[in-house]
Amino acid sequence: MDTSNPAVFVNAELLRLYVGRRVRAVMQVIRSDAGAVIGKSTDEKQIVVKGLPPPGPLTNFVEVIGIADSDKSIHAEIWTNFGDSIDTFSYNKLCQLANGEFKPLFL
Amino acid sequence: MHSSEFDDDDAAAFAGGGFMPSQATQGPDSSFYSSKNRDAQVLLPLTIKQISDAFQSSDDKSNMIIDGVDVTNVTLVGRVCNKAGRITDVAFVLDDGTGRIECNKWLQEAVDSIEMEGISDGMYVRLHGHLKGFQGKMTVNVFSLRTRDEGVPRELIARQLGIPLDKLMLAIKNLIEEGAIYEAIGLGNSYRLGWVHVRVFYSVSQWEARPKIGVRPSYSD
Repeated sequence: MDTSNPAVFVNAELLRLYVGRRVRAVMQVIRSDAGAVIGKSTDEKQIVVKGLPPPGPLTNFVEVIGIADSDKSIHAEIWTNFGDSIDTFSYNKLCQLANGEFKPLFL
Repeated sequence: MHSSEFDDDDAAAFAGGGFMPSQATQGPDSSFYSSKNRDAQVLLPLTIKQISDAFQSSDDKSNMIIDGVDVTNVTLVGRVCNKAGRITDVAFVLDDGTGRIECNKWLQEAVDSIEMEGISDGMYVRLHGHLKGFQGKMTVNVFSLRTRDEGVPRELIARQLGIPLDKLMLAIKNLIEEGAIYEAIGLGNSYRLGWVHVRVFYSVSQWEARPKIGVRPSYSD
């Protein structure tokens, strides 16, 4: 078992607390610019995701895992398509609980 | 207040046990719940961080307790990494974002191989298994695992069984008509057969004959 390199569940608001750390976030893909994907976090704010997406199309919702390089952007190493619809409310709640009341279960 | 649709004539429907509407005024007595059930093994959803903390703080590694409950069977959700297939088993690491734990799935029947062949690094899975401590580390002995796309690609089943895809589909169609399995729901190129996970065992006698595929239902939650 190795808990040395966790990826913190974040939304846009929590991202700023973990700059420089490994994070994971689910976001809705808004558009792709040169070298970056603009997404909307589960708390309705804009996040910029840098890095190389995998080959193939991205679905509407994507999870990215990577290093938070600013309070508004993530440098993603791993991208996972999460499909066309997810329950953003539940995911957002998960982010809050995983960093609040239930943080010892995660970090 | 119980619904009036259950009158005395229907009492026989409940003869096998369970709730008796005519006894609504009685509270459940303690003998209704066998004390054996209380001690039955539970299935715990956990994060790998929880397991790691319990492991470190536990004196008796083979009998860990988390939140007051004996840890035996666990269910985890995470990404598969470092999958290594061997002849008798498949090993991989599960990463759930809180940690990584080694997992092992023994390949006892053909269906186990089919199931694991469809799993590749980077996929999200939910697995059920048993926590084992060995030589100072914990591993999960995996009973079952499934991906978000439930079911196994039909091409994979056909290839594993060594029969043409059209014969496989004919056999499945026959089984549906016999009522042995439920209607298939096509999801691209993989099939989810109702709520029955198809446990495929087979004997193929001749190409002309319908391949006989038996189905042993198991219940997916």
